[in-house]
Amino acid sequence: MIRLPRSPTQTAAELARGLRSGRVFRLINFHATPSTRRDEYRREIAACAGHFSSLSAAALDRVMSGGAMPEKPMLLPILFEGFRDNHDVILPLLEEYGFKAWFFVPSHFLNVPARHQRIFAARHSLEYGPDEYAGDRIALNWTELRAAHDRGHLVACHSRNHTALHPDTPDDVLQDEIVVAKEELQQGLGAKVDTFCYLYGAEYGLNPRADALLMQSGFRYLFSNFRLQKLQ
Amino acid sequence: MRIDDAYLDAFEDDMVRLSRRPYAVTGVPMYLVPEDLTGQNPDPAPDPEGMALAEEFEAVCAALALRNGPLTSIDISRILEVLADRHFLDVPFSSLAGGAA
Repeated sequence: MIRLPRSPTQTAAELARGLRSGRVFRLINFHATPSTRRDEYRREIAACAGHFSSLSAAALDRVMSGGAMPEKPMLLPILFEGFRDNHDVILPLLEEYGFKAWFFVPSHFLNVPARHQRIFAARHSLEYGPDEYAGDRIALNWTELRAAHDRGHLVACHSRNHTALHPDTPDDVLQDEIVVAKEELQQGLGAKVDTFCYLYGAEYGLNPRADALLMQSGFRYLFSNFRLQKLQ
Repeated sequence: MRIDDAYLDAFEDDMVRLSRRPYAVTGVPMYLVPEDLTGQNPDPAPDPEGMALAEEFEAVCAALALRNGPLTSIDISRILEVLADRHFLDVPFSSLAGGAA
């Protein structure tokens, strides 16, 4: 389900204009990263090493303010959903090859007791592969996320409960999924978070009430399916 | 850029093949275009590599619309996924997946 604020034809024309400048980000989108696929992830990340540079928060600000792009194309490994295997399996590989990860986390998932995390995942469209932690937690914990952040990896807010937000979503849900999510993530991380990603990669302009809350909450960047948007 | 039927067939084959990946556990390359909604920065100038990528994207979009009818948002996503798969590395990114050596 990909919703756009303008027609697909118009969107394609806008994207073509952006692509023409060469100012593009290259992403690899990961969700769960089970150890059964470790060799595959290693091949992929190793193949990227040397071709690409990482994007730090400072570089993001610079590029999004019209500054020069780094000499090497930038690669952003995105780790969606806050699964524990992101920390245990793919993060060591990314670090081995010198890449900075971007954790896109539904903040409340990390606060759900281990006993209920699988139920929460099932109820909130958090899909994972083989269950490699029988009887134990499947989500990152705050210690792991803080440690990764301290080593230079980046953290973005991916709602609070992995909830899709629509134009008719009630105000209290929007508040919870945007404002409380930001507070919860910042409290757990011990650092400011100013990047958001809606469920299903929705763009700015689809949901004016939610967009307004993003702005009021101080979010500066929005990742969507096809664009990285500077909000303020 | 000229798109013939053979090219478009192969492109659509790749769109289908890549769409069948298990997204929940697979690394999926993608392009993301920066957009400044604050309007504080001028539109950036074109560059040769970007021009080539944009031309291919536009040509495929036009050819697919001619063949299949108006583009959908899913078409755009699949087109960008194929371009990223083909152009990120010297080999298709997807060739590194699964049991490939």
